Formats: sequence, C-alpha cells, structure tokens
Amino acid sequence: MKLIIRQYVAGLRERSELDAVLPDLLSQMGLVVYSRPGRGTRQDGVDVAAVGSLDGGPEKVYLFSIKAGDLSRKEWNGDSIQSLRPSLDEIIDSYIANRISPEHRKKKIVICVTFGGDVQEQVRPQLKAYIKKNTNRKVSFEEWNGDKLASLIQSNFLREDLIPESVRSNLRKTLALLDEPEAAYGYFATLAETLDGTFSNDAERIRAMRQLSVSLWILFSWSRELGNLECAYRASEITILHAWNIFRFFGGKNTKASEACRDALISIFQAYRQINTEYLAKIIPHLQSLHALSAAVQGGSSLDVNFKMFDLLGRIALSGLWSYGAALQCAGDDKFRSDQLLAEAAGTAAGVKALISNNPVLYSPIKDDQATDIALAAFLMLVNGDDRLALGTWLREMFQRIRLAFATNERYPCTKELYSDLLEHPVSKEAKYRESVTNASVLYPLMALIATLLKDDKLFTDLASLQSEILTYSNFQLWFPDDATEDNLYTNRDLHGISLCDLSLQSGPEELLKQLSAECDQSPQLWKLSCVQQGWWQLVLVACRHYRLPIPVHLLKGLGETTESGEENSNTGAE
Amino acid sequence: MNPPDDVLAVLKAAKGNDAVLGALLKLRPTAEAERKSFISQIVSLHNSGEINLFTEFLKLRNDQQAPDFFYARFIFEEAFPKLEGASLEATKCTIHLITEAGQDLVAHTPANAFRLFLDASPTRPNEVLALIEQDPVALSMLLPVTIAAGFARDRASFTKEVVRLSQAPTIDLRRPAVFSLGSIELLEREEVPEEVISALETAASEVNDDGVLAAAVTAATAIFREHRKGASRLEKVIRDALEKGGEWTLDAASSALAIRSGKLGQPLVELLAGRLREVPLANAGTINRIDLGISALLNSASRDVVLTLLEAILRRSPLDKQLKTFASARSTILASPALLSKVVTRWIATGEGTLCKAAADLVQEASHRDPIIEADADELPLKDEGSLAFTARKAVGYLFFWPVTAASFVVSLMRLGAVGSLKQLLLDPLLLNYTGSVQEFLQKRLKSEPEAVSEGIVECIQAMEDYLTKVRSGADLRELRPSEAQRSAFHRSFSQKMSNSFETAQAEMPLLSLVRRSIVLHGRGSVQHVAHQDGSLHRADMMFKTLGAEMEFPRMGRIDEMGMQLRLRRLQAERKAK
Repeated sequence: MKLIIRQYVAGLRERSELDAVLPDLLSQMGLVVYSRPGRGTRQDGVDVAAVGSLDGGPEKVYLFSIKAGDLSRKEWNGDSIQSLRPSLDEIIDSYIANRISPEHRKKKIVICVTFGGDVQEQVRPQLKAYIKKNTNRKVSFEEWNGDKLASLIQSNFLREDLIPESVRSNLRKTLALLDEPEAAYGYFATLAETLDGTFSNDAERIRAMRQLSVSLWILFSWSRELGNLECAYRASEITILHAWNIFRFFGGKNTKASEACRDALISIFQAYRQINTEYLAKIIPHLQSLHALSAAVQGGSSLDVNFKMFDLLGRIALSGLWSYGAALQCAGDDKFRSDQLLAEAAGTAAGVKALISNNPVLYSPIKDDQATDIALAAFLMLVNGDDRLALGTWLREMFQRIRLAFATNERYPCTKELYSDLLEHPVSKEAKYRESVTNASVLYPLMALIATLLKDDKLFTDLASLQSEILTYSNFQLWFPDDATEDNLYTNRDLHGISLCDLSLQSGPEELLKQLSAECDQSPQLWKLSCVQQGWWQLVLVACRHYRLPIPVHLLKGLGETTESGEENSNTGAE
Repeated sequence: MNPPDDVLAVLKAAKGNDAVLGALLKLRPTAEAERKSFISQIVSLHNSGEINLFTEFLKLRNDQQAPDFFYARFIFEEAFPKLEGASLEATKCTIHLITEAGQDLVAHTPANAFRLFLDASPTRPNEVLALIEQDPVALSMLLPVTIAAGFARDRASFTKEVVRLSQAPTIDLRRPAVFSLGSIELLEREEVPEEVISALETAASEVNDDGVLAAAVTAATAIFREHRKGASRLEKVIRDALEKGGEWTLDAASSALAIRSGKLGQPLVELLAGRLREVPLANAGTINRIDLGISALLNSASRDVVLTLLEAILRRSPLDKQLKTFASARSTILASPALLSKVVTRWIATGEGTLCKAAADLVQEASHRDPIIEADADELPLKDEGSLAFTARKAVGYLFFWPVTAASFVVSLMRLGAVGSLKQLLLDPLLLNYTGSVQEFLQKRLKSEPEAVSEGIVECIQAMEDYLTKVRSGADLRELRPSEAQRSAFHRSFSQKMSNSFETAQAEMPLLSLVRRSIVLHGRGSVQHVAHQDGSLHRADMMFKTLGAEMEFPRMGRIDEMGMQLRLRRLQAERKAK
C-alpha cells in the first residue's frame, strides 16, 4: 500500500495538489492547521501552518513550504519566486518574526521542507548546509519528502485499524484496473459506499471524508500517470456525492467538526474539479474537428459512439453549469470573477455546440435516459442566450431523425438501458415489441418543454403529432424530487422522487408549462435539498447525470424568458 | 440383356401382383443399346397381346410412391410410337399421363410421343379427331397435336376440319381448334391460307371467351410473318384479341413474346408489350414468359420497347420482388457492360425510386465482377449542370453501398460537366466513408481523366486526407474507448449475426442440398477411399481451398448510423425539379 501512496505523492504535479492533501493529513495527525493555502498567495514563504504535538512531544509550530515533485537545483534556488531557498529565507526573515501569533511565539518552530518526490543528489549538500546554518534552539528543519508523506498518509488514513481491509483492497483493485475503467469504477464505487457507512461520531465522519479525499487523489494521480482519466472522472462524481451525503449531517452548523468536514469536502471538490478540468483538457482540442471524437471511440458498433458522445455531452455541459453556478454565487461580491466565470460557461456552451455539430450521432438518441444529457446541454445553452438558436436547430434535427427511426423501424429511442440489449435493438418489427420498449418516455416531454421555452411551436407540434400518431400508448412523464430524495439523491440507495405521468402534448405548449409549473409548486422538495440550500445546487445535476435520473423540471422551467438586456432568468436553485 | 421369355415371365408374374410398372422399371437396362432392345421386347409383348401397356399406364399415379412416375412414364414414351391398339385407349392414356404430371415442366412430353403414334398410321389422325369431336371435354387437349399430324398427312382437308371446328358451338372444342390454326406448317415463301386468317378474324372479333381469344393470339403470332400478305390482318386479329381478352390472353401474349420474339417485328412487339404492361403481378408464369421475351429482345431494335415494358411492371412491383422475378432479363443485362451501363443510367436518371432501386439491384450483382460502371450519356435526357448533379445525387443515394461503382458513375458524369458540384458529392459521402477503395479507384483514374476532372479529384483526395488527419488526432483518447464488457458483447452479437447470415445464405444455395457435406476437424485436405463397382478401392485426395470475401463498411455506419441513413434517404427521396 505504501508503494501505491508513494507513487501517488510523486505523481502530484502541481503544488496546489499537494496543498489540498496536506492540511487534511496534518489535521488527521492531530495538528491544528491555522493557515491554509490561498489562491495565488503565500504568506512569507509559508504554504501551510499548523500547531500541535506529534508523537507525544511538546507542542510546536510547523511551517510548511511545499514543492511538487523532486527538489532539483532549479527548484532549490532558481529564478522562480517559487524556489525553495528564497521561501525559506522569507520564513526565517519575515514569517517567524512577524506572523506567528502571540500564543504560539514561545513554541519551538519546525520548518518543514515538503515535496512529493526526493531531494536530488546535486542539491543535497546545499540543503544540508542551509539547514545546518539556520538551525538553532528555536528553529529546526524537517524534510518531508514523498516517502515520509506516503508513510504518514498510510498511517493516518489507510492504516488497518482505521479503514476496513475491503476498502484498501478495492482501492488496490481500482488502481490495478485503471485501463478497464468500467471495472475499476465498480471497485471504487464500492469503496465510496463502504466509507459512507454508519458513523457513531463526528470524528468517524471526518475521517471517512478524509479517506475519501485521499483515495480520490490517489486514484487521480495514478490515472493521470496512466493517461486514462475515465475511471477518475466517474469516481470523482460518486466521491463528491458521498462526501456531501456525509457532510449534510452537519446541517450547515458552524462547529469545529463541521469545519473540519467542510475542509475535507473542499479537498474532494478540488480533486473533482481538477479531474474535470484535466479530462476536458484532453477533449477540447478535438471539439472543432469533424468526427474526431466519434472516431476516437474506436468501437465496433455505432452504439459505442452513441453512448460515449451523449455521455461526453453531459460531462461538458455539467462543467459549464458549475462555472455558471459559481458565477451567480459571486455575482454580488466579485463582478470581475463573476464575469470571468460567465465567460468560462459561455466557452463551454460553445464547446457543447461544437461537440454536437461535429459529432452528429448526438442528433440520434437511442436511450430514453439520454434525456438527462440532453437536458444538461439544453440547460447550459438556455442560460447562455446566444445558443438558443443552436439548441432549437439541434432538437429539430433530432426530431427528424427520431421520426425516420420510427418510420424505418431502426434504432429509435427506447427504454432499454443495457448495452447488450441495445445492440440488438430493435429485435423485432412487431408493434408489440415497439410498444414494450417505448411505453414510457422522459425524452419527448423534455424536448417539448425545451420547445416551449424556446417558443418553437413547430417543434412542439411535431412532438405532439409523434405522441398522437405513433406513441399513443407511451407514458410521457417528467421527474420531481420528493421527501425521500434528500436521503437518496447522493447515494442512490433507494428509489426516490415522483414522476408526473401521462403528460399530454395535445393541448399546446402553454398548457404543458402550466401543468409543470403547478407540479413544481406542489413538489417544492427540490428547494429543500441540503445541497440546494447551501448553494451547491449543481450537485443535483451531478447526481442526476451519475445515477441517470431526469433533471428536475424546476431547474429548467424558468429559462424561457430573456431579459431586455438579453440575459436570461437564472435558476440558481436557491429560491 | 434379358431374353424375351425372361421379360415375359417377370411381367406375367408382376401382373398377378398388379406390379407391372415396377417390374418394367426394374427390368429397364441403363445402357442405351440394351434399353432400345428392351423397349422392342415390351412393344412386341404389347402388340402380341401378352400385356396391355395402355391399361397398365392408366394405373400410373404421380403420388410420390413407387414406381417413380416420371421414370415409368418415360418407358411409355419410348414405346408408345410403336404400339398398336385402339386410338381411344391411346388417347386416354396420353391425357392421363399428361394431367397426372400436374404443373411439371415436362408434363406435356407424352404429347410428342402421341404425335409419333399418330404419324405411324395414316388413319389415326382422323380417328382421333372423330373421338375428340365426340367427347371434347375429355379429349380436346390433344386436338392441336392431332391437327398438326393431320396437316402433315392431308393439309387441305384438315384445314377445312380445323376451320370448321374453330366455329364449333362447344367452347371446349372451339378453343383448341382456334389454337390449332397456328399449327399449320407453311413453306418458306408460302402465304397463310385465306380460310385460316378468316377463321382467326372470326374468333377474335365474334367471340368474347378469354380462352378462344388467347388461342387466337397464340395461333396468329405463330403464323405471323412480318411484311407478308396477311400480316396486317393477323396483327389486327392480335390487337382485337388483346383488347377484349383477359389474363389467359395476356398469358398467350407473353408466350408469343417469349417464344417468337425474333419473328414478330417491332410493331407487333410494341402491340404485345403495350398490353402486357397490365399483367397481374400474381401471374408468375406470365411474368416468367415476359421475362424471357424481354431477355430475348434486349439486344435487338426493340430494346426500348421491352425496357419500357419492364419499367412499367417494376413500377407496380413490390420493392422486395422487383428484378428478382426477371432473372433472364437481369442476366442478359449483366452479361453486357454496355447494356448494363445503359440500363443503370436510364433508371438512375429518372430519379424514380422503383427504377433506381432496380438499378441498385443490378449493380449489387454486377459489382462482384466489375465494380466500374460509367454513365451512358445517350441515356441522359438532359445534360445541364442541374440535371447532372441530380443524377449524381441519385446514383450516390442508391449505389452508396457499392462505393467504387458510385464513384465511377459520378466521375463519368463529371466528364460531362458540373465538376464543381459533383466533386463535393464525390468527397462526401463517398470518399469520407470509403477512404480505402474509393481513394484507390480515384488515384488510378487521375492520369486518364480530363484535366478539369483530375483537378477535382485531387482536391477531393486532399480534403479527405485533411479530414483523416484531424480525425486521427483523437486516436489516443483512451477515455472514450468502449469497455471490455461492451467490446465482448459486440463481438458476440456480431459473430452471431454473421453466423445467422451464413446459415441463411447456405439455405438459399440449391447446390448444397444436392451434395453430402462432411466436417473435417484437422488438416488442410482430405483423403477418401472410394469403392468401384468391381469392389476395388480408389484413393481420392482433395486439398482444401480457402475462400473469403472482403467488405468495406462505410465509416459513418459507425460514427453516425442514423445520420447516414437519413442522408441517403434524402438523396433517394429528392424529386426532379419540374
């Protein structure tokens, strides 16, 4: 296990990645972290500062200066302001003198030179000389290299008495099968579910959160090294969802335990976003090339391309919606940042458009649950006013293809979900078979809702005629969270939510919107979800994408109108 | 060889058991010389009264039981011309053996033996004619052959007889009599007797019975000689009969087209073809004969007429039947590259779904031999840019799955103009879908094409390479690859589908039902020891040959299957601008 962790620590490429893990580690070791890394700033050479006692010794102040990877000559004393020696000088000259708070001034200080790898041999004499020169009664130095960090992580998070063997085993299996993402994800999901078990106290909760965090970071590091982030992506989703499930127990309280838990959640979120970013960084260069992503699937069947492209659509759109949500959150306080984030969301929406136009399989949904990916993309395109036209074009072409699929009896959208079933779909041209696999649908009412929001009467009428001419027997429905949703949304342990059934498109778009609005009013549970209440409403989308649930209508139905300035009504999830 | 006494003894014994025919089959030698002798023996036994072959063969049934009906009947046919006996008995036995054979292709062969039987005695035609007149319902089937035999003996009196019978009140007599008017054998320069033409005119104009009208068509077409005296009157007979006649008459017309197509002349072919357009599609026999007629005339001056007839029938045919029912015509078209090019161009240029689909069926079969089919400029009604582009789109829409054929067709259209719009079609969907075969074909063509076409091709190939470069840039995205479980599921499903289609194909191969198949588990050949009649063994070894087929799947079939289908359907559904 230590080798696994050692490789993970060495694989952390950015300082910020080590930053994210170290505070959790220190907290778990019993230290009190009083200074954490902030965005783009360091406090006189210190990345993390903590105070406390280790191994029963006296309380000391621990000041960490962090570098990723090996400590080379360049890292030690290069031109960069991030070089270690200038940072250590700053700590000695400025931090110790000015920034240690009065209650810790009498304590001994340990400056921890921290890096994920090793000290390269050519730097070793200089480091030793520096430490010898600057060590005194008050100040001492410790070298926290990759090996030490690995030992500490193992002993504090993954020790046998802290974590069940099954979890460690699942982590090992996950890492062994990273090039088989489906199987690897299965093991990691079991790991996450096991860690999100029953807790008897807050300490257990906090430890589980930190174990989730470390496991995810380890997985990420290994995945990146291997060049395949697929498992890491899916694992990051289930990790953040389970993490929230643990965190929600604190109900927004401001206790020490809840703070510690929040720190772990943030660490997990950072991993989630980092994985997201790196995943998309691999995809984005190919978005503008016709068929490049479709061809990259390299499967034997068109079904492979279909599955992957719709999945990718949902992922990209979700990323844009995180940016959009973050922009709304900081709109009041930081206009510049908010604009930056909105631009990021708009860029992602442009990516969604490019993905659709260059990978035309996205005009042909085959599974009804691909409505979730379509809804995510539509959500992003609706909030980004410029993309409404493209959204309408996409859905109209999609409708044409669906009509053709029904007319020719070939690969029309159905409720089957298993790959092997869909490979043979449609197995028969008989009406009985068709009815059995199209007897319910979220896809068409969702398309009708979007048509309503876009004021696209032609598309709505076409969908209505599809319902009245071909799918008369089909139960058109949309999903709404209910009282059981809060307890199950993040874990999918049980059924939850209710479906508004037998939606008719025959009375026109206004009537549909009226009906849906009324049901939204009747089902306000969405707004009471802990993640929505605390401003993390995108987690609802993550859960819906991950567990293949329809996106709640509440989030979409208000996106029909645009303001005079061209900005859309926003759905922040916090009514 | 069996001595006569042995044969007699065996047959007498068999007669007791009512098993004469079985015994005949057992006794019949296989070597021809011995068989002839055997036939002479049984003829002698019949003529001497030891056995009565007519009585025995009247018992023969085509009921899948021993003795084998057709083998046994063949003995009768061989012996029949030399048999003596009552004409009535012979006539009844012949009719029995014909009717018992049902719809078999060789059902009527006993009639040939009957003719030889009639020819063997000068009185028999008259005797049989009298018998037929007495019992037309039972015996009229043999009237034509009797009349033909009579014509050979005494044409003048038999002409009178047949003209008389052609106006008989009994329809059962009248139909074969009118039919028999066509049996008259004329010398090279001889004109058709006036009374025969008159009788046919009477039949065609005064009778409404479909059988009589059909017989009139058959008889008139049989004795019709273009540019000869009476030709116009016979043509009128045919026209009148076709106007009034029903399915039977149509069938007679189809037979005329099939059997006498070379002698009819273009006006008469047009007349028959015009009426045959309305043939009911359920009449498989009639359709088969039309097919034969079309096939015979495709390489004649009447090609346009028969192609128009074929097109008219195809337009009314269900899409899944279509050219399948015109095996002979299809085979004739496929045998000639020039004719194939002409027909494919003609049908594609119409833009009609039915005909384009038929063209695609032809291409499917032709592409195995030579995938290159070029447009025949003579068959293009318009050669302006819009019309050429329309034809090219239709060709791509319907011939997409035979990419080299489609590409060769489009390139040949590019030579006629419209390079700008056609090269785009050449690139997408053809080159982008078939980066292998189509590119290879175009590279070969580069040097031989006119400059403007070559330039267009070079641009297309360059655009395709740019596309492929971009597409390949994402090849290392391991995140997007399907899981092992999905790959396995796909391979299982694919293997199953291949296996099923192999079995279906095997089931459709009649040859396989005739041979014994055996499985060899190891090795690259097989050895068997085959026993000869003398008991010696012959070592027969056979080395296996490997057979394979190569197929290029369109790229979009995997990248965007429904999009590809939609695009093809849009190309197929496009209508010609008025």
